[in-house]
Amino acid sequence: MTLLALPFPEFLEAAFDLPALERVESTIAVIDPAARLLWVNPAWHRFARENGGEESVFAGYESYLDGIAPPLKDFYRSVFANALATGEVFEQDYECSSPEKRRLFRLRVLPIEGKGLLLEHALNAEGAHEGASENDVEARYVSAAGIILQCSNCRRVRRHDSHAWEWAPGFVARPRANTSHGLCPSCVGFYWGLKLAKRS
Amino acid sequence: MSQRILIVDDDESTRQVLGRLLAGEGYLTETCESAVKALQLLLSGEYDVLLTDLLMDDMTGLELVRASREVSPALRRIIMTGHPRTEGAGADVEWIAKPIDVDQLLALLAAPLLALSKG
Repeated sequence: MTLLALPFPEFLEAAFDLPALERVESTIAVIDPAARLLWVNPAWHRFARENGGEESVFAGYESYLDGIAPPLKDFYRSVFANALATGEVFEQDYECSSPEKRRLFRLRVLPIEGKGLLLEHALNAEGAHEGASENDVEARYVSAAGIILQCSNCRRVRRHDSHAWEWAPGFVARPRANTSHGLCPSCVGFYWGLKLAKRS
Repeated sequence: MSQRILIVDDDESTRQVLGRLLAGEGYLTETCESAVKALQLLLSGEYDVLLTDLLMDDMTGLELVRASREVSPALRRIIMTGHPRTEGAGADVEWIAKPIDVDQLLALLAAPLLALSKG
């Protein structure tokens, strides 16, 4: 039985319009305070199907956090706990590109009176990758010493000119021997920040 | 007595994170950004462990560990890398994968030489 066959959680009915949530293009999931999936909208299944993911999910058994890469799990666990405790909406822009398309999303975490959270992933922009050729990799990412610096955690690659960290799916698919592994500022802040704080 | 660890990595964030982590665990740490500078520091003979990146601008981690055998024979040598291990590094070289697993690194440092990273 998939979530589509399950009733809309009662505690949501007062706050949200079910037909509207079922119509929107954004992928929406509702989780309980333990981060277990309660409901997802049709767009969620559509997105999973189009991107090779698991289309069938089962309410009350699967944690939303299971679908998050281990380095970011602690970060989102704290985001969810904070939203539940404070009632404040959390918003975050992020990139989730495929090898074919560059895609920018906005995540909104809406607390529902301490009973759960509604998570919306809205596609804000989609288009072709800018410069995915081998020559572009050379020009953008290879330093004068011939080394490419990649974050060992999130796999983003640092531009040698601006020092900006970018997703480079073509490079990630074909990593090179001249790659040195470091840490980008985001991973230092979120991933290692949490780890160091836990140990201090 | 606390072990003295020389952390060598051309990535500043990695140096800072590992330095802070290991200092917090009671190790005496020093960081440096280049293999050449590391060799100069190793001449002092004050270090127990060399924890080095594999790929750096001036010299690879493999070249550094080879050179370190001359200047500091009793040193414990650990290479950090996001690449598969390199054959022929020598039996006295230990490896740890990037991204660094904190518990694995601490277990490696606490264990007898070459106890955990073989195989």
